[in-house]
Formats: sequence, C-alpha cells, structure tokens
Amino acid sequence: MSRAYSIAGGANSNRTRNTLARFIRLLGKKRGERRTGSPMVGSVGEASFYGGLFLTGSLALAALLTSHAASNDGMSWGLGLGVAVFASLILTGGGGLIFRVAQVASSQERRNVLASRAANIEFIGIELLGDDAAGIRYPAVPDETFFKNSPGTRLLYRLPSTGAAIWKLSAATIFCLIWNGLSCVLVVLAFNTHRGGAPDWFLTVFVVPFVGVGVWAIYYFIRQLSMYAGIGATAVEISDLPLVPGRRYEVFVAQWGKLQMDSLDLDLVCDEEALFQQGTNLRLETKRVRSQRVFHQENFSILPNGVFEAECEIEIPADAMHSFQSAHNAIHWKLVVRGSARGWPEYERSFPVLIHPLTEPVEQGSWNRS
Amino acid sequence: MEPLISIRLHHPKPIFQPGNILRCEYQVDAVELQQLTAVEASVLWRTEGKGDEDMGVHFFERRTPHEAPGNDLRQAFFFETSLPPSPLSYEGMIVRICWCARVRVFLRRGREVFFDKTFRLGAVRAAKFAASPASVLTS
Repeated sequence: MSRAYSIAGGANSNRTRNTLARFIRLLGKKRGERRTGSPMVGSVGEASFYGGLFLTGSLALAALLTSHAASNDGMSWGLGLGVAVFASLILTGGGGLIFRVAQVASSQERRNVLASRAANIEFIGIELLGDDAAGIRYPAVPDETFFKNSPGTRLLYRLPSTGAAIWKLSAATIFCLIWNGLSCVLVVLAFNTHRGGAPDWFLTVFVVPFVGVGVWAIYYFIRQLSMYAGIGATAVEISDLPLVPGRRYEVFVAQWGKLQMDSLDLDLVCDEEALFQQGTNLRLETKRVRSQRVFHQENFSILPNGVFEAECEIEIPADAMHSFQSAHNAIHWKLVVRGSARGWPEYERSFPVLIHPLTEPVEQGSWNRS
Repeated sequence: MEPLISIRLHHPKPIFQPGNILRCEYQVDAVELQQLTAVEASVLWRTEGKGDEDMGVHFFERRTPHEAPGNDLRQAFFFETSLPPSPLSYEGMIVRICWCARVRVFLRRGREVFFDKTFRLGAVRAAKFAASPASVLTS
C-alpha cells in the first residue's frame, strides 16, 4: 500500500450519494427514477402508508368477522365481499411493507446479487439458468436461440426479420375497422334525422370530417396491403452465428416479387437504444452509431415467379462493440435491406444479428464458413 | 465528518481484458470504530447516458464488525476476482457502459457513503461517427 490511494468522501466528493440530508424536506422533485429530498423520509412515509393499510385491513376484518359471529347470521354475498376487500387491504399493506423494509435493509448491489442468485436456484431439479446458457457465459448479451432457430437453404442460418411492415399493416387494419365502424353508425344516425324531417345539422357537419378520415384510413390500409403483398418477401442468410469481431462471414440475400428495382442495398448497422422516463411517459430513443455498406445493386428486374439472389461477405470491425441488452439500454446489430422499386415507395427490412465479445485473439479477416 | 474510502487496484493501468484477475484493496478511514455497521465491496458494471441506469454486479462481499478481526472494519481488506467476458466498457452516443470497483460504507443512523474506482474492460473503440445522425424518438 505504498502508492497513493484514490481517496474520496467528504463534502467535495461528487461520487458520494445516499447520505441523509442535513435538513429534512418533506417535499421533493421527481426526475425519472431520481428524487430530491431525504430518502429516509420517503422510506418511512411509504412504510407508514403500507403499515396503515395493513392495520386498517386487519382491524376491519376482525370487526366484521366478530360482529358476524355474534349475530349468528348465515353466509351472505355482503359478508364475502367485505372479507375480500379487507383481505386485499391486508395483502397489499403487508406485501408493500415487507418489500419496503427489504429495500431499506440492503444496498442496490446486494439486492442485485440476491436477485441473480434467486434466478439460479434449482427448481424441481432443473436449474432455471444453466451455466451453459448464453446469459451466464456472456452476461448482458442477448440469448442466441432467437437468432439460430431457422436453418438456411444456402447458408447455415436464415435470419429472423423484425421489419415493421406487418405491424404497420396490422395497425392500419385495426384502425380502419374501428374508425369506419364508428363512421357508419354516425352516418346512419345523421341520415335518419334527415329522413325523419328534423335534420340534425351539427351531427351532419360533424360526420363529414369523420368520414373523410375513414376514407383516408381505407386508402392507407389498401396501400399497406398492396405493399406487403406486392413487393414480396426478403430473406437474408448467414454462414455462422453468433458473429465475432474481426471475422468475415458469407451473406446471402434473396428478394421475391415481380419488380423493376431501381436499387437494392444491404447495410450492416449498429443501433443504440435507450429507454427512459420523461415525466409519466416512457420514451425510447434510438441512435444509429455505425453503418457499413455490404452490398449494392442498381437497375435490375425480378421476373414473375422469379427471385433475385446475391451473395456477398461482411467483415465485423475488430473494435466493434458486442450486442448488449439490459433493462433500459441496448446495443443492436442488424443487416438492413433497403429497396427502391419502380411504382412502389422505398422499403426497409431489418434482420438482427448477434455479435459476441471477442474472448480470444482472432486473425484479422479470418473466415467463418458454413 | 464523512469517512474516507480508499480503493487501490493492483494493476499498472486501470485497463483489463476479459478473464484477467482484478486484485483490489480497500480501506475505510477517518471514522470512529463504533460508527461503522457494515462495509460492502463490489465489482459491477452500470450504464450511463440517456436511458435509465442499469446495473449488474459481478462480485460482492459484505463485512460486518463480527466478521472482521478485532471487530474493526477500518483495516485494509483485499479481494480478487476473474473478470467476465461481457459486457465490455463502451463509450457510445446515448449508451455508455462503465465498470468500477465500489465500496459502500454503512454508518449508524442509516447513513451510507460509497466510492467508485472505475476501470476499463476490453478494448472497444468509442462510437465516434454516426452514419445516420438523426435520432428516432418514439413513445
């Protein structure tokens, strides 16, 4: 211990937190999960609330049961409802109080360790997360099962697609059905007022923009449906998974549909994702931090019942960050196909890939073939 | 008066590779013996940046006065742990992953103080360029 220590603590340390405020403030501000004010006052207040709930429920339930026993009445719906309400107060209050006390008695690190150990407890002879599970060998790296569950026809794995097209089509369908259903009801009501000789002009004027939105919803639905059905499927296959920085892999791309393509691109991209609370809203921000062109082709046709096929190779940058997933933050790598076909809007389809961290030196640009 | 927390990593540079052994020594000072109720040492990663903070604890030990020689938690303690293969330290645009050795001191009347000694795990380059600088924000 001859060298100088890194010393902190004291009033000037900005790394020291969770100390008791000198003057207890009952009111504080909430910024995301962080709060100003005294954590001790907050804990005591919360524990008191749950304790009060528990006591209220217990006393009320005891009073209800004793009065019922004294009256010698039979069972009734009212008694059952009372027991259910007071028992729920006892459960909520007791559970909340135990949770609060457990939080006070331990640090964030200790709770994290206890939660990890609980996840590894053997349950009826089956370990919930075996040592061989990717989550244990590579903590905070997504499980590779999702990426490897589909074999390829040309290369080893066919990548799953996470394109938003099907979600857009589903959302358009649901919106179109609900909106136009409501529109029909309003139109019939308005029409009946006119037919009955006492026209409701407010309702009539109100119905016009309502129907306009309905017509736009039908147009949008038909456009999404024709895009989904007309452009045809896209498939991407890869020679190995998970990927490792510094290695090269073969990639196969296939595009179906009768199309006159202006261009077709394949990019390897890395996106960062951050989930955060803003007031009472939960927001997700995505930032593209790396993009590498893998394949590009212009001006070609795909014949009816035909398919466009291309093979190319990708090299994962040696200094690339691995895939990462935690509760509120993520780093995703994916192969993105962007197409521009004559008569159709541009489309984009994503195929996530898994990159593991580099655990042993890799010869730069070495191949991983199927 | 708050206690001083000292952490020393037995490594010439605070840069490690997965599988390396992290050796660490820590000591709590400038505090009366009776004031200390427990000391926790941990090696952990945590996220910084735009998203809410996440954390993963790789190594953890807790000492109470009964477990310490002479019931004195102010003496220097040592631990070592083999570092995991992931997550590697990362300096992204909206996500950062930081590794640190943390010592948390529990004092009488519920007071807590902690200090982090940060280090790097791996050699991932910072995300310096963005092919598509525009962020996409969804609710």
